Amino acid sequence: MGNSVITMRGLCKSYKKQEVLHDFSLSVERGHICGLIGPNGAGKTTIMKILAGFFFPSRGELELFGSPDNLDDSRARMSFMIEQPIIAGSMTARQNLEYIRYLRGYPDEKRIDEILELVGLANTGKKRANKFSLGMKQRLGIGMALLPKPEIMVLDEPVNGLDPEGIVEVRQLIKRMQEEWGVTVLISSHLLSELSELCTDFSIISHGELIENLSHEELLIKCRNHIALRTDNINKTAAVLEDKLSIHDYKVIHGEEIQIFERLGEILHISKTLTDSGLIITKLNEEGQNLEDYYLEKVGERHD
Amino acid sequence: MTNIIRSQWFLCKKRWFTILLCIIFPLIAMFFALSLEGSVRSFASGAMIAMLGIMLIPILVVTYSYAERTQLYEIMAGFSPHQILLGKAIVYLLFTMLYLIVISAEVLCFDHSAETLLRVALYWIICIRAVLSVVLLSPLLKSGSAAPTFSFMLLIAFDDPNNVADSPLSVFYAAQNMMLGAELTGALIIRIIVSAVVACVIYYLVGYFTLKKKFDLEPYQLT
Repeated sequence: MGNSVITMRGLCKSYKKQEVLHDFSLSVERGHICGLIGPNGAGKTTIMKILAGFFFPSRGELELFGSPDNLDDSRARMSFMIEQPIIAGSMTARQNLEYIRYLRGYPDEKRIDEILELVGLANTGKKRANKFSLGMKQRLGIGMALLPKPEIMVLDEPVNGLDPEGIVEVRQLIKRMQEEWGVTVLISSHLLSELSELCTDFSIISHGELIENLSHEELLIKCRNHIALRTDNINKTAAVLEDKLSIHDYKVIHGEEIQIFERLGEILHISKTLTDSGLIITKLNEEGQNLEDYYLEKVGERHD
Repeated sequence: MTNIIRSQWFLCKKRWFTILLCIIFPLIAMFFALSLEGSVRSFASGAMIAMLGIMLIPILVVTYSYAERTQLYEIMAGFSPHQILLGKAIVYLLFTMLYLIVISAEVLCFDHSAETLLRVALYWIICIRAVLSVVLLSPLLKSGSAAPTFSFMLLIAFDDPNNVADSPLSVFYAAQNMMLGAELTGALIIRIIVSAVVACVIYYLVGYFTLKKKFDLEPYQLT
């Protein structure tokens, strides 16, 4: 916790008598990229709005840069892009960036050209931002967040509306920010495959409650290759695995499927033993999980 | 606060043509009002149009910033409510002062009697109050035009300055502007000054606590 730049403890938020966030805790370490994963209405944007200072939590503690005091001063070291990018449609990309430069007091005017180049909007000239495509607006929003060289960036669905090339560019940009400038990123996205390639940590949230915090390494372990097995009798199958095959590293998923994490090369032997025990195998193959499978499993468990 | 001032100045500069029109048209209107009628009553009607002109500058910028949600950047950048309100007030009061200097010079060219000077001084107070109502109430109203619309709408039923002077409406700046065309009494002068001071304190407190307590800062429904 010593190097945590964002710490939330037991955050709750009610809006119009409906609790949208319940006892949410999260710690984001300096220089990490933390992915906030959850379905629509899970409370991701609410968390980000509390961080941005749009409203107070109903209960709980928030610390920025290790301190619960002077949160507004801490926000001056952060940048946010929450929901759709906030841009002045009547101004050009350059003018939007200039506005942010004045507001954030960034001294170097050349920074605007750097950012325009970086987000691929250098050739938009006098085109007003309200004439931009969704992807261009998204890139401008990211540029406006990047301009003051923040220590923490909070990005809500930053690749929304981007084409595949744009998604890759944004991913590379965020990686570069983390690796070269040491920026800490809290990011949410529906594209879990993108997050799995980008994030160092994940926080799974559903119905305003935290389901699990885990690091990328922990995710890899949890999503490791396994034998997926379905039979007509799961309880008997588990007993056969333990008694006849001495397999103990397995997991029963929703009472329907067994995932075996050891002796992956002995699939034929396992199959024969189960069949000899009178079980009917309906599924037997080697597979691995990805973040999406893991997330669906976790959210599914919570709903069950 | 310097950053707020610079950013607001930048936003104003980007709308320079509209702002120029807001300034020129009332000046012309005031000129015709004064030259055609040449009475104190004409000062009041010209002053009303001129006041709308000066209010249009903050109304435009504030309305755009709420419609496009760019005012949220001020909150995300960590500025205190005091910095946000005072920074904006300084920018728009600067515009108001410059504008009032020109208007006052125009009026005094026609008539520079002591009574006209007093009317002009009271007009300054009313205009400053009107501009501050737009700027300081904007966090709550999320629109630049709501406060002046409310104030002017109340006047629709009261088009006689003598009636307005005796009604509770006389504490509103739009009504006071109309009353400038009537005879100036000590009570009226005190009412204009005291109500301006009280109203500006109230505007500031409303704006401050809206930002401080984060009363629904976004113009859109939260998800």
